[in-house]
Amino acid sequence: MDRGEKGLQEVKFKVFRYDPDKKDGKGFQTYTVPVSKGMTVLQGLMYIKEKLDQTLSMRFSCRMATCGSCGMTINGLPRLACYTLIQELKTRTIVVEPLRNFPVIKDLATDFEEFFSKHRSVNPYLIRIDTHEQEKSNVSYTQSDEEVEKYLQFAYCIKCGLCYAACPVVATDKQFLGPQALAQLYRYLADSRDEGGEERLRPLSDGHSLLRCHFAASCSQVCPKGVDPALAIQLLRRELFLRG
Amino acid sequence: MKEKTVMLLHYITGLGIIVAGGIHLATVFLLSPYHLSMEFDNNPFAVLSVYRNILLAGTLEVLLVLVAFHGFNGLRVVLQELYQGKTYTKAVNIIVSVVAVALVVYGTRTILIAHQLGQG
Amino acid sequence: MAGVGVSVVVNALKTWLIPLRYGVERWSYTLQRVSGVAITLYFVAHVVETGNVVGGAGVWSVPPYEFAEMVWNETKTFLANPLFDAGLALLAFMIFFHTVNGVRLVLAHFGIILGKPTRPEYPYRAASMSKAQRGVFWLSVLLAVAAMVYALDVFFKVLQL
Ligand code: SF4
Ligand code: FES
Repeated sequence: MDRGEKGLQEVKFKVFRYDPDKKDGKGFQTYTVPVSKGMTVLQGLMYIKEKLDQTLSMRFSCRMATCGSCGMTINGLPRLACYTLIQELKTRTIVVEPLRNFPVIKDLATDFEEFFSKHRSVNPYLIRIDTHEQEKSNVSYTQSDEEVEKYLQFAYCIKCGLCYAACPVVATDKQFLGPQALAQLYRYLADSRDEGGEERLRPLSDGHSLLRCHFAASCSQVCPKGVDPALAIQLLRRELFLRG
Repeated sequence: MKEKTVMLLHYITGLGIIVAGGIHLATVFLLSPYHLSMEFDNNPFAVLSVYRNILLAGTLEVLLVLVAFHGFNGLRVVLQELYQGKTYTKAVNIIVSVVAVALVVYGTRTILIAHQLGQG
Repeated sequence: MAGVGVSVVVNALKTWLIPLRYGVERWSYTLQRVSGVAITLYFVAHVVETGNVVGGAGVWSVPPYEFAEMVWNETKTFLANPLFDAGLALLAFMIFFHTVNGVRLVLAHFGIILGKPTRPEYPYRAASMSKAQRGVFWLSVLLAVAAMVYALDVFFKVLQL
């Protein structure tokens, strides 16, 4: 691994460990990992799992910031492990914890059930009034460039949950839908092909789903795909107040 | 009341406070020196003179209602975000409304009495 | 049960009151919350204190002029100490911050001072963190500091009188 490049030769990984089957399960464990240029935090964790400690649990798949499974708290901020270079962090000790606002299953693996069910609850698909036309239609829905631009940015979401982990409202209010689900709600509302309109906005007039957002914008700060959920949520509020 | 309407009122009262609170601060700080405004009576911007003036006293009443709504709704939002539960939510709503109304009643009493005191 | 309550509150205070690492908007969130609660508490104290001047909660008729004047002057002497003055100066900061930042939040909630959705191209710059929106935040901080300095000047000159 170490090919004598300048810079860091090795770093310490301080990894959060939790085993539900053990009584004294919670705590940190430190590993020393040799580093090479361009190495990501995920590669460091894989080194630990392969060479040092097979009991370490984490979730990952694509290794290229596309699948959204490797979200974790790295040096205090929610990030994708596969998208974070060790050199970029500029610290000798890298602290790796599971995502906040998610229940921990084991070590770095967290439970996304609540997160996904909120995503499902906003009907993340096109709603058409005329279903026959939607299923049997032989014409395609054309959209102008401007129409696409209105929602495209929000369609890049990979459901990694980083925004959900960063949100100070989600931390205490479990009925708040969270940045990811609200951004997706707006993504479909803003789509010129969608006819959900009223139906999508109606459930949002209650106290918790949408209105508890106070624009702390931490979601947009951490989103690895440039989705900007904070913008989507404010535009959604605008729709709710002016139209809903 | 729908929560959406409450939040809309939260913004409107907030903007209203800028006007009413601005007038209140102006009478205390800008229109006359602070130490004169803090006198009990005997100059045009002393405390009792402000209450004697029906328009300024009216502004104070408006300010009282607006701040009571805006402030206590803000407090309510913070408390609702802290924890969720049917009884808890109801209790917070009721307690916050009762305290806010009590404060408005008490403040209105002050304004009415001070206004009459100014006449006599 | 009590233990659960305590941990809920501790978790809330941690996320609400520690705005580090997430940028300017998170600071706006925390300061807006803290100043809002502080101003509301001051408001309650202010209404109670002015109510005392005309006789307190027990009296619902017009008290004698001399009595009100006496209580007013007593209250004034009681409050004339550096601690209260410093508190009021801090309150001046909070009121001006909360006001201007509040306008900023209303504008943001209606999507007015934010950028438009665009195709995200690396390096991503979130349109919600627009120059206009951040500008108003810094304006609110600036005005708040100015108000605090003004208040300090006013109050501490008053003390010398
Ligand atoms: S909005 Fe961004 S941070 Fe949130 S889940 Fe989607 S990709 Fe992840
Ligand atoms: S492993 Fe797929 S996003 Fe990191």
